[in-house]
Amino acid sequence: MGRCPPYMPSYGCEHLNRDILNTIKSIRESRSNWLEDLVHYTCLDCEETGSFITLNKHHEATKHGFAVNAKHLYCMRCRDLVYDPSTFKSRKRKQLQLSEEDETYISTNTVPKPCGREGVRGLFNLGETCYMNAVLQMMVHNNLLAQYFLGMGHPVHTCPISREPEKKNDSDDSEDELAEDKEQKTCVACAMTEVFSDANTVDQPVPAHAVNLLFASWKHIPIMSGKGQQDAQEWFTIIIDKLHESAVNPSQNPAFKPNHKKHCLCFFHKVFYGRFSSDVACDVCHKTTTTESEYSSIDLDFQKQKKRKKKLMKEAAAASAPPPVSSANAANRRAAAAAVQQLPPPVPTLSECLKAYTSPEALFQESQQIDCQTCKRKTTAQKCTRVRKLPAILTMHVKRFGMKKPPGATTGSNGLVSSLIGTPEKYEGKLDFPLVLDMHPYTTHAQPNGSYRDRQHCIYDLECVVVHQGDHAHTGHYYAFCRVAVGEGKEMKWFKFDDEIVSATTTEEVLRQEAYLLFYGLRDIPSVCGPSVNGETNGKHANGTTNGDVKMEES
Amino acid sequence: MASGTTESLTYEDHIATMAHLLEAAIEGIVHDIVLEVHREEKIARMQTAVVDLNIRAEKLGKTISDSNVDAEPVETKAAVAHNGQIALRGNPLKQVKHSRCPNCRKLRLWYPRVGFNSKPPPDPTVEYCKTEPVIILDKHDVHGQRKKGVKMKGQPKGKLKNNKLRDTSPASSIGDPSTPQSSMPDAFDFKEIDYPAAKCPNRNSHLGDHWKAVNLFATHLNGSCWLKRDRAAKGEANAKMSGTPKDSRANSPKPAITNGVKRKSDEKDSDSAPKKKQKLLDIKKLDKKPAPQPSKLREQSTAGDDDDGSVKGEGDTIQVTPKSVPEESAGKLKFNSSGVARKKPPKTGKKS
Repeated sequence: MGRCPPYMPSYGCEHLNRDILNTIKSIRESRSNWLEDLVHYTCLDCEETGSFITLNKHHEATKHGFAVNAKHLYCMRCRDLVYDPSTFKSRKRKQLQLSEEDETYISTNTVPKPCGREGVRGLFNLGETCYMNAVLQMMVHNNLLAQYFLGMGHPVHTCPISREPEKKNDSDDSEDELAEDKEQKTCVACAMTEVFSDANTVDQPVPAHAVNLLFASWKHIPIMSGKGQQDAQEWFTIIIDKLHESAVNPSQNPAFKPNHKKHCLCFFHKVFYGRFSSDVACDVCHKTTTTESEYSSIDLDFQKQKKRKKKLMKEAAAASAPPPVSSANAANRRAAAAAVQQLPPPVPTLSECLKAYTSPEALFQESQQIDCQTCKRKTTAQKCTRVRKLPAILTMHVKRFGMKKPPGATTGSNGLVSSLIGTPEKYEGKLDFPLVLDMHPYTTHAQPNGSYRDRQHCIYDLECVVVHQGDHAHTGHYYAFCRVAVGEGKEMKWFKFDDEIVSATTTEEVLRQEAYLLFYGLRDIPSVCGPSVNGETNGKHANGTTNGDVKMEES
Repeated sequence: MASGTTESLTYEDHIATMAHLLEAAIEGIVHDIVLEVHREEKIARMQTAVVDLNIRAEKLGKTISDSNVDAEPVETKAAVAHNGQIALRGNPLKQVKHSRCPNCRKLRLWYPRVGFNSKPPPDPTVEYCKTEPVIILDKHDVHGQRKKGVKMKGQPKGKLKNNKLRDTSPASSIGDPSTPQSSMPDAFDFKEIDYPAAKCPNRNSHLGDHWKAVNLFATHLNGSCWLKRDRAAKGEANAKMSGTPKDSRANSPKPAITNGVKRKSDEKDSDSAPKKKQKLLDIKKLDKKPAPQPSKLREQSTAGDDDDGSVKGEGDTIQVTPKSVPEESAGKLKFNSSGVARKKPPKTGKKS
């Protein structure tokens, strides 16, 4: 990669030169009303516009050389589209910022990267560790995280946690003590860095393994240590928290102590954590109380949507069915029931779930009522949760696991409500998810007059889908579908990562999956605009007024 | 559309407009998809043209970036380097018929070697760039490897699967089944992914490093290495350890020694102890008789080695007979070793 790709001619074709390129640039800048979707090229020298056939004829008549549209350049003499090296530079600008100055130093101290199939290294299952592998593949294939870990975002060599030198102490009595002491020295971020560098090695087609990370994870997460199947979402949530802890080492940065007043500014918070803002408005005095809560993944209750949709479909079917004639309504009813039975299972969509999540909710039940401080009593209220901050990697968690209440549990005859005791259950069924997700409607500044720029910063692309295979909640297998940039053109293609086996797959196949976790990556990461947290207020504020200082802090 | 214009537009106009828009939209989509491939391929050919030029320049002992105006231009069929500038000649898609990797300068394969959309490499003797197209084959990964223990139906090495794939392609559906088999790249070896060993990160619990197969790692850490360090677990682990390799030991050529080792752990279970002792004695008695056996085996194996190398069987028999004589006479070990030492020089002499 780097600046201009290596081994490139000076110009895209023999007819091109600097002057023509300048003309093209000025024409593209001056004209803003390009018909982007239409296959139309305009001649550089006159106003002739048309497709390739028209242009070829035009060339024969006039000997004009080039035609352009918003993206492409057509050489009428070559009778082919031309790709000039100067047009690649802007596309790869982001990647070269650091390597510019000490280029010679780098070239003398490094070896060229060997060729091989990139980005498709599997991970060994270390013994029921597919939950970890699936999440790891997502992380490894995320550009932002790769840049952090491979760019020594975590100082492996000077890591204060794992820097402790190995002490060779063979005496038996002090061994236990030493072991206890050393147990704390395993760093999750160091192990994660190792996984990233391993996964990006291409010289051999053998899969990588995350032994050190597994060990670090077991050490840091006692509840999930030990061989056994675990929940991928749970592991993901905890491991990013552990990564955050490694980034916010109190000895390094005393300013970043975990503080409830201030939001953490560490890399992992910007990448994985967003914040919800939930407004609770008292029905009596209409006073709004806003509380903020952090989230690492948005839970999608697709079962609820499924039921709702099923109901709607039933109603629609009933409405479309012929009105029952009084004499033979029994047969009709049966037919209608059969028609309802034949309906395909309803497929809720991601946007429906998000809409339900962010729509106002009435708190009217006895248990839900709030203690209004103004009214000094329990009142009913309206609650509305919206997204206040969006992370760079947005995680959607489809709630597939729940507890099945045993029949008659709520009405316990002996007075004990046995609703707590249930059997874990997995909810099967599809949830439609888009490849491109616009989160703007669900944010706190989802005003109809919201600026285009705001909207642009809420566009997410699907990057990874983690699927749980199996009928039961406590057993099964996880595998991941990730988008990988392959080839010279860095074309995004989907691959299935099933532990060791990595296989090519199609977008359609990915969209057909019964997803458990969905990872969306922010398309445009806004440039650094200072510590944006300063402008934020914690606690109470009216929703509309603070619109200006709500910032997406992904930078 | 604005309401004002609807008055003047007829139903046919609407249909025509919609058809036009639809056509334009589809055209745009197809244009973008085709261009994506075109762009990638053309850039690859442009790079290849320049790589070829570089190779040529190196052969001639020149540098391409030489901005000397008087220097003679380096040229190939597809590109010219003059005055530090590299210009293309004609359309690289037509002028360049292959593509080279700009990183390693080796030729690129355009089709995977096996599986979906595969073609045998144009020249099997050429070493191609390692960045090959991904292999799409059921139960295999992108490198054509499969998980350990996963077997293809019937034949090993996944040949059957390939034939099936071939059969579905229109070309092979007409011909007899022998043709796709002959065109099968037999050279491709479908590797099984083997579990490598990894160093145990828990180096504190034991002295020295631990290497374990990766697929057993969770079990290893879960066991006596890290989580279950108590005595009971260790006992369990030991019981398991001593229990499993019994079968393999029974078949080993030196039963006497293995039994001797086992006796240590046998102290715990008193039931099996007397039996084993009996066995041990039996074997010790027998031990002296079959002692020359291993040496015979050795001779046989060496004879086999010689057969591989040369056809001369007579020379072997001559060699073997003098060795068997000192073995029988006395001092097994000494003579054995000397016998081996003696055996080697004539062998090497023969081969060379």
